[in-house]
Amino acid sequence: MTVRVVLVDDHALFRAGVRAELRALGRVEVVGEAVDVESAIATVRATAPDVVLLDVHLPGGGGEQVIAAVRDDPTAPQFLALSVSDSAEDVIAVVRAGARGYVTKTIGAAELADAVEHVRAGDAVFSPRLAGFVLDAFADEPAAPTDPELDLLTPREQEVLRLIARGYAYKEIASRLHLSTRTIESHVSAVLRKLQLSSRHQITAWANERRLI
Amino acid sequence: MHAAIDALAVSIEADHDVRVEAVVVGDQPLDEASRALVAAVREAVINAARHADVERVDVFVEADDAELTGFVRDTGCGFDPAAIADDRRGISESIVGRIQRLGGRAALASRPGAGTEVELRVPRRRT
Repeated sequence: MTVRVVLVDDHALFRAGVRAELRALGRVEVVGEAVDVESAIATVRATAPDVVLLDVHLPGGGGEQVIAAVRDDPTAPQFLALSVSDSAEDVIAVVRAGARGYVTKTIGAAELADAVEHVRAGDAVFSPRLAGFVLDAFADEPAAPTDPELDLLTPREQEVLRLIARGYAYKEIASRLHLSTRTIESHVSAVLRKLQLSSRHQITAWANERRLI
Repeated sequence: MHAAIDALAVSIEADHDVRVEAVVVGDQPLDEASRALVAAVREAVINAARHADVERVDVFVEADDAELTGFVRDTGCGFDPAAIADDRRGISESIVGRIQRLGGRAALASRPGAGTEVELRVPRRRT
């Protein structure tokens, strides 16, 4: 079954390229396109897609505003951020708003289709660079986190993130660690959950220190 | 070190038909250890760009309290490390030698058809 996708990006040429590449693969169908925050919200509501491929910077606001507007709709889709930006600030903003994944525009078509399918299934998708940001954010952990159990990444989660950062696909990580792909996905989802909910203070401090915010 | 890795990615992309995806975790000023690591990473990426027949090379560099770690990975054609003379493939002796003189090590894992990964570790000198 193909995944129904809405493509949100203000560059027509980029949308055309993504559409053509995805059509050639046949696993993903682009059912709508939008160019800014307002048209994205309207298109998502009109087409009820499975997944929205969302640019982070749009005319009229950020991708996180699109997510915030529709995430409580009964037919709310999953969001996969697809951006040329790989700044930690952008990544964290859309992930915190509720995106299930974040990949940069250097991704290949087949990898993008894989990522769309993962996100549709409710799994999280990290690009290597995002895994790097998360490791970085948690690396110089301040001594007194609010809730260590919630805030700290487990050694296994860190191991999985390091392998993602080294460019391994989930399937390869699974076979290397003798775990199922499902288990890897659940580790990644756990990281995403922690990133969203529990370490606002740490990530703010970390981003501040690097003059990102 | 972060800036040096980004710069090498950009310059290799300009010279070779390959995308270099670099991720750097932690950072540290350029000193003898990090310079050696950056040079070895550069060498490994160029090797991958020349020989692996891939579109993308992944670079992951991490600095923690104890050491600097670098991984350079491609999912290209790979090769049998035992079948090829050391001076023809892999990281050149000068780079490996430099890393070893700093107390570090370099390892290469490759299989025909399964890509290549170079692993580099240099202890971090506390000043």
